[in-house]
Amino acid sequence: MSQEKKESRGRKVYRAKSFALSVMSCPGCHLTLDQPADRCPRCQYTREVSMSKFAFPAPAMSRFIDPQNHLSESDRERISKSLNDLARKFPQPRICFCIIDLPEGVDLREFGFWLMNASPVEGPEEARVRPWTILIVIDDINGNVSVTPGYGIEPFLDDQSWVTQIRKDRQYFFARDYGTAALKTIEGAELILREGAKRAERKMDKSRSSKKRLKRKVRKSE
Amino acid sequence: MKLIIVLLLTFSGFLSAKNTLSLGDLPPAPEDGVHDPDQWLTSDSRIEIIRNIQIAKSKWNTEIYIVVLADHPEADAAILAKETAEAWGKGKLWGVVLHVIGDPEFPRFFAGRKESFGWSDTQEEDFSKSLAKALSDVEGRAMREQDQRMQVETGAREFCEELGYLGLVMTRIEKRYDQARGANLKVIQKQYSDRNFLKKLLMVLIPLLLLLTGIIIYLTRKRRKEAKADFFFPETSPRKRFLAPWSGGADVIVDVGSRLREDGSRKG
Repeated sequence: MSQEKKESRGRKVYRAKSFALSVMSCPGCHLTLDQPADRCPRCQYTREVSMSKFAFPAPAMSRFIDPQNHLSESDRERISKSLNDLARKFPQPRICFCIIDLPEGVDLREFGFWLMNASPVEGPEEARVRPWTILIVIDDINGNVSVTPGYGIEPFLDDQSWVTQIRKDRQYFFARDYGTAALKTIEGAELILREGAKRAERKMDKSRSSKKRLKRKVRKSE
Repeated sequence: MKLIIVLLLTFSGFLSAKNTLSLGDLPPAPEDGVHDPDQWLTSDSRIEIIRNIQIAKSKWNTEIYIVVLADHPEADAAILAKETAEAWGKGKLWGVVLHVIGDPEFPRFFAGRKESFGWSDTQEEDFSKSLAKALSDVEGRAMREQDQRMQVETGAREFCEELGYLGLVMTRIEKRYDQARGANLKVIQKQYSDRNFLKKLLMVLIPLLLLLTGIIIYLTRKRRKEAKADFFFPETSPRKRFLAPWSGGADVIVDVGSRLREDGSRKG
């Protein structure tokens, strides 16, 4: 894609709805929403509810949120290298891995929602990248993996693709080989991002050509 | 009287000069295969001989000539017979009964064949032996007759039978050779046409392969380029919900296997 195109695309703001594949759902009761809402129409869920559930300071968002050191140094090096390669292809999204031991019964989707919104945003750089963050939370004890995207990257991701990719590499998570599991997840992320980008390109091209047609029509009528 | 003797000698000399064959001075081939200017053969014998000659010619492509001379030929009889048969006929197998009137050493019998191509040495040898035997048989049977005319007549008939059979054998050998050559020719033709076909195929295949290679290279480069190229997602108006500033959450969760045992203790 040319620099010019990138810039012009950067200026224009599209409706997320025109790209979004995945549905919106309540982190509390998992009700599907047709429209964005401040509160869940069923359980009245808001961010505040999650804050009261997880009443402890959220760690700062970083590439590795791993208080129990499930990842070794070499794992982190390998993962970082892979993430850097991915960043060259997709400069906007940021992937963060959080490996944590949660008590039984904690919904990892809700935890991810809480962490994305509660983690401190210190400085403009974090404010810029937070909406483009893809948070992958791994619950070591309960054996669950969740994916929580920020608002910026969310319209271009397909939830079902994530589920498929993680299931495909389930064996690494199950074996607690989180280094390999993370690398595999990054590979899957690249595919999902690529697919999302192509879809976005197609939609934008379609939108541009229909606008051109409309302009021509208007000029003719004039 | 002296004049009459001189005239007679001259006349007989003229006759003998006429009724002999010399190399390089052969008369034209007789139509019925019998050269008997002095009409030494009886008409019945002649008829019988001609019938046998015609059978041999028509059925087995074997040419038989009866040559009756008043005088000895100048050339060797065998050479003369061969030259005569080859000059008069086109057939591959021939037989000549040569008779000199009044000479008890005659009639003599000669047979031969024109050179054929493609015969093996063994075939040549075997056929020559067969021909020699046939000649010997003809001569043997003919010479049992007392009368020279009967000897000539018998010789002609025996030639017809013996050489007729050998003519058949020759035909079969040559047919097989032709078939083999034909088959070989077909193989050569097929090889040639195969080569031709291969050339044509290559003329089509090579450009096609080049085109295919070009397409593959193009697609590979395009893929590599795409792999290297960075993607920029467009800015979108966020679907803000649940009063959450950065993310509305997602419905992605995968069970990868719990570490907890039933009693609540931890595995591993």
